[in-house]
Amino acid sequence: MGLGEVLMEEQVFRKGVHKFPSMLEYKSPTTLETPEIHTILVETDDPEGPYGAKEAGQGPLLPVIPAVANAVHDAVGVRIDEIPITPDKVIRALDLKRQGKTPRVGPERLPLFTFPAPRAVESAFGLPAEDISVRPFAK
Amino acid sequence: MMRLPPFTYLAPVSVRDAVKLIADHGPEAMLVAGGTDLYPNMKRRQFEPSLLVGLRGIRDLVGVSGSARTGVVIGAGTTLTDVASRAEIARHYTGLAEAAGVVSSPQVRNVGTLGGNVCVDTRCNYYNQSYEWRKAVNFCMKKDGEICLVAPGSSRCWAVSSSDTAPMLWSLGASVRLAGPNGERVIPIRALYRDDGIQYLAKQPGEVLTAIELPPADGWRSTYLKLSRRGAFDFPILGVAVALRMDGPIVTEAAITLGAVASQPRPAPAAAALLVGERLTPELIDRVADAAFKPSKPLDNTDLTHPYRKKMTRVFVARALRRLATP
Repeated sequence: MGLGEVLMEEQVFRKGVHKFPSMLEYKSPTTLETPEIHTILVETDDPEGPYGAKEAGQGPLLPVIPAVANAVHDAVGVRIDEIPITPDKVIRALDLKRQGKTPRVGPERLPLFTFPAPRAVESAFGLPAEDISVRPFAK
Repeated sequence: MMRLPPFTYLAPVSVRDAVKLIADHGPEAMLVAGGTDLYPNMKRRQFEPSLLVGLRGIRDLVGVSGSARTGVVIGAGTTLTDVASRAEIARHYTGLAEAAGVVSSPQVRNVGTLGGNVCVDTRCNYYNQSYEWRKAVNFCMKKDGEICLVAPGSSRCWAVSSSDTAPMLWSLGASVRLAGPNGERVIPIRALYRDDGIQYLAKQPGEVLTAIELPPADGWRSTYLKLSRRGAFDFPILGVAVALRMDGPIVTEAAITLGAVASQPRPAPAAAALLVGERLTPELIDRVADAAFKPSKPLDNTDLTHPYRKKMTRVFVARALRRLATP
């Protein structure tokens, strides 16, 4: 799923309609694109989730996207700053690299958006947020 | 879910019956063999025939006969899986086996026919969509609309030839046998196509494609490369079909045909001419690839960008020649 998102899936609008409306244009990887997948089950609970649940299921695809982007950089030395990372973007970046410019392809600007600080409410086990002793990602 | 429009299916058992049925019913009837391209198009309302004349029941259309020495005749109703796996074709007309073997997916190849792939409808981003989608963009010149949405100022349709086997058969010098109300005729495959997205076949509407005839293999070696985003399912966004006849290390005859860059297979005769009488050195391969780059003029009407597809022409022609250089 993550591989499809980083390599092929694209939701673009053109003339007010989807550019890729059907499953033939909106590509999903076939067995020929998918490598062997090794599944490692991490059987712990998340104290900050409801009843210890972690998330609905699509979380593990998040690291796949930066992993592939970093793999492209490791292989050919270019940074593609938007998904899907398609061959023509890589070639454009390689052309920039050959011309001596910064080898990055992606959006030039992003909208200005300040992210609000995360709020911890109550933990899974009825404890107030401050009582959670180990918070690996909090500052 | 998209549904087929209502239609009547007729199942003749001979080519003569099929030709007669089409002649009797005129424009409201269409021919169908495997139907792997026609039925999805009917669901999207690109075609709404009230009558389909099925060719699957005609046993004369299925089968491969002949040999590499005398020439091979492939029935138009032969499935693509069959074409790709026949030993005679895989060994002596390798490019055709490769081309037939990369069409869509195994399930489609088991049902789809070689004749169907040769006559497959031209495609475009704006044409091959559902009725509602096309209505939202006010349709296009090929179906129900006025202007070509890819080239709005143009007077012709630019839908892309999306067959894998057509450019390969062109490079192999194949001929096609057509059966019509006035009898049978055999034409070289290059005479079957027209450079227009709407009227892309020179076949008369009442004619049935019955067989594809391959000339004797006679030392010709061929290969086909297909560019698409995925390894299966996708139509070609560039096809490179190269056939070479070699006398030891020297090329005596050559043919290079590009697929999916125009409304018909696009031959590259200037590039092929550079090969005749020469050895396949890396420098020659690069020069030929550069010459094949010129006739490749794709428009932005398929997947990925057209500058990329044009760029890949050079890469793929070089790759095909390198593959043929090593026996």
